[in-house]
Amino acid sequence: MDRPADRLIASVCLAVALTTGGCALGPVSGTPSSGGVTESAGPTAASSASPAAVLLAQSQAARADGDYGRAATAIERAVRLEPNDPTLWLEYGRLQLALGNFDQALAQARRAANLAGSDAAISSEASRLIADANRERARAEAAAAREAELH
Amino acid sequence: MLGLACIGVTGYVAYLGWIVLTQFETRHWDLPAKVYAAPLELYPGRALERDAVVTELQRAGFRRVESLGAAGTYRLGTGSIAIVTRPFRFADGLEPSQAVTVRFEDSRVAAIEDERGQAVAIMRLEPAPLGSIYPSHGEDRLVVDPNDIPTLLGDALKAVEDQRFDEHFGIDLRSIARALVVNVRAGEVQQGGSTLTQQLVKSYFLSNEQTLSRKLNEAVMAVVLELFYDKQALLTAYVNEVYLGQDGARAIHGFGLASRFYFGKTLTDLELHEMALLVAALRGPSYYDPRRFPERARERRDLVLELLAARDVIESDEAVVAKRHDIELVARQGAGTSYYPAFMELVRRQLRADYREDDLATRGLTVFSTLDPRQQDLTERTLTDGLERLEANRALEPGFLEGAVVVTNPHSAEVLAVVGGRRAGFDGFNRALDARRPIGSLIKPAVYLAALETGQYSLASPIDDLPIDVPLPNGTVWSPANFDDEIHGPTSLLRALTESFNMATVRLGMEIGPERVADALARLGLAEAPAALPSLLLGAVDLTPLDVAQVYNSLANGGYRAPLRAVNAVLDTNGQALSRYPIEITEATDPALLYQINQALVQVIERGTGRSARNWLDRSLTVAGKTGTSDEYRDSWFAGFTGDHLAVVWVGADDNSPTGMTGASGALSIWAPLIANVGDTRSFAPTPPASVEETWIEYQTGLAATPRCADVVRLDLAADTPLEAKPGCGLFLRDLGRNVKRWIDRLTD
Repeated sequence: MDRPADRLIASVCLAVALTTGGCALGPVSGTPSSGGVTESAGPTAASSASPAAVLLAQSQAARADGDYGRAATAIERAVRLEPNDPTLWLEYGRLQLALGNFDQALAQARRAANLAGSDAAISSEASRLIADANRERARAEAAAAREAELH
Repeated sequence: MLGLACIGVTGYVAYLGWIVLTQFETRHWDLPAKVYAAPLELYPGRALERDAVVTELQRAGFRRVESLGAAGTYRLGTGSIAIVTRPFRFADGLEPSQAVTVRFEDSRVAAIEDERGQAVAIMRLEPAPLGSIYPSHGEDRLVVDPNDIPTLLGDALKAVEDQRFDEHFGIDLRSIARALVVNVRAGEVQQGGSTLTQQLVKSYFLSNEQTLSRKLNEAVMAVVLELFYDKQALLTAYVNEVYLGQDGARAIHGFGLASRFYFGKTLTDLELHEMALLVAALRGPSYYDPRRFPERARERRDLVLELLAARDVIESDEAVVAKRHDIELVARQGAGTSYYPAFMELVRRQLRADYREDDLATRGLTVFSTLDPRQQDLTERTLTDGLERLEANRALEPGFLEGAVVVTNPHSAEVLAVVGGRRAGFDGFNRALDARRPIGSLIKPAVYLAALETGQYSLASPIDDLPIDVPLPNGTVWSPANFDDEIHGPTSLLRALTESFNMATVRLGMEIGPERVADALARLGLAEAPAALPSLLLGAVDLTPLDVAQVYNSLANGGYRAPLRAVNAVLDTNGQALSRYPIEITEATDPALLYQINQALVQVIERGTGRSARNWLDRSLTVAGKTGTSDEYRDSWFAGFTGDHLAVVWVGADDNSPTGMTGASGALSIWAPLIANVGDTRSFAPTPPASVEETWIEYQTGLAATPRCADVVRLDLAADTPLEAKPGCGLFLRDLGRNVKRWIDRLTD
């Protein structure tokens, strides 16, 4: 298993997703949902990327769309395939953060950092997620406190 | 007098009417939750035989054909399989039907292509239905809408069972009269004369009693039903209600489920001869069971076809063509392969936290479980074979031994297989979930982890394996001995854990205190800490195999505890997710410390109590695990993991009598072939934490050494681990790791 290579591909996918607004990810070619009926992406067209990287990209795209259910299924499929890949757990943590599960976001970030070993890029990505989760939690707690004061 | 009688009769009729109408209304909605296995993922590179894909497709009710076309079929090619999937609603949405071709090379998926020849990176197959969470009466059905009932079926039912259905008012006086004549002549009940409506009523109350009062009640109820509902509603209810076969404890009700059960098709896809076979089976689903009595069933089917032609439902040449068809049935899903009561019980228990039993039995929920049917079948087989082999080798009475196995994916915390006993298809005592047994040495990783957590020890630390007397609160003295009754003297923590030395472990546990051990064990996966008694140090705590799986899952998952899940998601009838059960992790300990423990558990297999695993396992597969044996050889345990699978095996006797087996001679001889045959598992190869450094130590003493020394082990130890150098094996300062150098520098300062 060639983890660093997968990681590279995944990072490239991530970069592409970020710079193109997630629309250039060939593999994520599911029929766009219409009329409120969610269609999942179906069998996914291949690229040179590993299956886990393809699912990671799918999950990121679904999270960007706010479709957290689909994002969760895709990222869980991915971690079953490559459980030692920290980029997948980082995405799992990002999804938990989007869902407001701060503890889980932090725990996954720390797990990713542990799995990263000496990979500095992953470690700093994990640190960023930890900082984001702490900030979001503080924001949520402050909002809750204001709410409590009002009532 | 007459008035009173009138009131009485009216009241009774009203009472019967109320009963039957309530029944009709509730039956309308009685939809057991449907439970699915995990879908099989297909992607290029996956180690998978074509046969495994075929089995999976058959489980989902796909049919093998010679020329592809319809959804739900597959065709075998040379080293390939072409599949037309059915539209299927997964937890994340509807996946449309697709035609794909999967090619295999060297027992792997080589490539997947869609109908346009485009490569597919990954896809999942429709999951196998595992069955339903039935109400207590065991009925299962797939309810069909009136629109999905073929006109031909309605016509055939009327022609065969009730010719005047469209005209009568629930009972058919003419056919009753005819039946009466026949019965009086024969002197016994030979002919029923029941209308479809009467049969429907009869089916609601599940009795075959043929008394006159019953017949009268039935007639009254039928008339009441006809008053309140139109013919279409009654026909639909009939099509969904009637009993059409048996699958173990599961009663097959309705034509929707029956067409899946016998033909692997939806009702609308049935051909004339298939529909006729179902109509034929109505009269006696066990007597005319097409699987057990194909000749008898065929005879009656042909009779039905002739009758349909005679009554102008079909043309006579259609009947002739249909009669030429042999009876072709889909492989029986329940034939000991997809009936998994032990796993289903775990599903029920997980769902019980969020759903009422009644909702599960009636609301038509869809449950996506985590069961891997291939893993489950393999586990069942391996346990049964293993117990038989052990009994034969040890001249034990056949059937004396029992066992249980739990298999998980440690990272997703999904339960892949549960076997509750050697008769896996038998819905009895579920040992995997309910048998609490002392875990013996399975506790030792928690003892050594607790020691590392104090910061005073590493795997290289020395400990004395010498006799120890532990004064107990009740005034007695406990003097544990080693399994082999030997005394090993000073040894490394690594060796004491690898070879499961009792005296060294108790000594270590008493140095740090049993409370720390109880606490570590609880953090790894118990709901509450066990009593912190000295005897806990040798595993005097009763746990179920599932509890052990929860604890060891945290080890296999790098120190992260994640509640084990048997269910991923639950959908309502509209496909909306009611619940999702995500992976939730908690840091049970410092992952860097757990990494150390896991290195010792790898050594257990390499050179310790688990080394006989290599009789089954390929040398290239790194695995970690631990044996456990309780007092007087009553319980034999093995818990171990690869990079992708964790399995816990318990072997013992139901009456708790000694079996004469250790964890290694019993449970391990089932665990190892199980792991060897998973086929799709990778080595246990955790990423070393940034804080560790590669070090060589002498196995026996824990002294720093070099690869040139005798009997050394390569370990990743915390960079600041103090190590004493092994004298005289060519260890020079330049060979030492940074840590040892630092340590020696400190000494020489």
